[in-house]
Amino acid sequence: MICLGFILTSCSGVDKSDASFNRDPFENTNRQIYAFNDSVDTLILEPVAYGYKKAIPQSAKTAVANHVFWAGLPNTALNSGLQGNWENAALSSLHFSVNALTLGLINLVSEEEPPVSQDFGKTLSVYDIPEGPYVVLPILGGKTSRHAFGQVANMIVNPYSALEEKKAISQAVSMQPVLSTISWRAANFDIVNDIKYNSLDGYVRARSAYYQLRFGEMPSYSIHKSEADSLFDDLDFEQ
Amino acid sequence: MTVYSKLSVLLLSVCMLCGIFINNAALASKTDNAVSLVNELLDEVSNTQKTEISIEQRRTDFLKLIYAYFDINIIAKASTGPYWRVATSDEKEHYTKLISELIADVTSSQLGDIDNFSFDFQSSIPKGDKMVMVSGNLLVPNQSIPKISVKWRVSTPDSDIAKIIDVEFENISMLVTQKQENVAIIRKNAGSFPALIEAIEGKLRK
Repeated sequence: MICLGFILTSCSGVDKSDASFNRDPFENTNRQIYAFNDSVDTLILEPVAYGYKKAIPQSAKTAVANHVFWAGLPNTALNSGLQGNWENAALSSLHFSVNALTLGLINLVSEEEPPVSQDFGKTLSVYDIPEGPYVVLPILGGKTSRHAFGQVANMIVNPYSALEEKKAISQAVSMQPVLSTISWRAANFDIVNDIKYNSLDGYVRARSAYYQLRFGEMPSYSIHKSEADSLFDDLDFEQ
Repeated sequence: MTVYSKLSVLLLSVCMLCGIFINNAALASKTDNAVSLVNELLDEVSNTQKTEISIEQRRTDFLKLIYAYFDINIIAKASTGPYWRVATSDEKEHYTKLISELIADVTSSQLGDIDNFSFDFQSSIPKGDKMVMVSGNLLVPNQSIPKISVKWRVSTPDSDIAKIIDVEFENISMLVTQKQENVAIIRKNAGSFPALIEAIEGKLRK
């Protein structure tokens, strides 16, 4: 990650006086990778997600979304424990164990509030590790460096690596990245297309949406001001 | 303590109690107005969506709703950040008109064919003395995402006036996002406000 940061810094030629520099110092390079990701989306992901959205019945799409959520539960349990959120750790372990009977395709636990997904990036935020600059990664998209590092850590500390290769759960989980990407793109089809086709600057809109969405998912969400709160605090309501 | 002092203390206490009561009543009135405004708007949107009309007519109907329910002057000002101050009055007026049309355009295209939705109200909380946050979930049956968290920021400068200034879907503020896009375009064009106007006009023509 440090090497990646160094390479990106050396490639960047953004105007340093820009206020967004603090968050996105590699904007020029990020924009180029964003354009590449955009092309990949247009050529492959968008048509696949469109077909999935139109051809697959809603019940099957729900089952796939359930499976993707279930497959992420061991990481959620692990990270909830690291964050000291034992209730969420216990709840996600329970959901994972019970729903393993159906490989997560059917939710057998009737809880009003399901466990909240956690990842290593959120765990790092609990330990006050700074979010770092915004980086756009090929295929994976735009993230804070902390989030990107957390994703790599999630892959390395993957609880499924303890399973034997031929076990059904292990095989099902190997399909998870492809399934989750298609399922997510189909579920957010109109939102992503709105960013692509209806925005004045798709890159800025995607970055802004990412930061706000990620902020809302953080364990410290309720004690910090959102960007909207800050905007309205500073606003003079007089015309 | 003399009778006069006792009376003074009593009078002061009564005044303070009245002050608290009036303030609480004003706050309650503001939150009630904010919730009513959001419900009225959603009813209007639902009626518009259920009517079989052309896309152009739907866009015109949404534009009317935006002028009726949104504080478009505050939105225009907040969505351009520091560049509002440097814009001429003609540019401000033109931008305000364009941003209303852009919101109508985006809303009518985003809602698409969704004609069956309901709003599950959760809370209304005063944010300072000029704003109320109305929160709830938009329930859209038979959609890939059947429940969307929505927060409405309603400006309430007086207890009898309420206008929407921002909508947040799943914590994504429409105003913050629009402001960041606008500011990026102005900066890319060396601080030129007309460049933003041109970009929005180009987007609306498409």
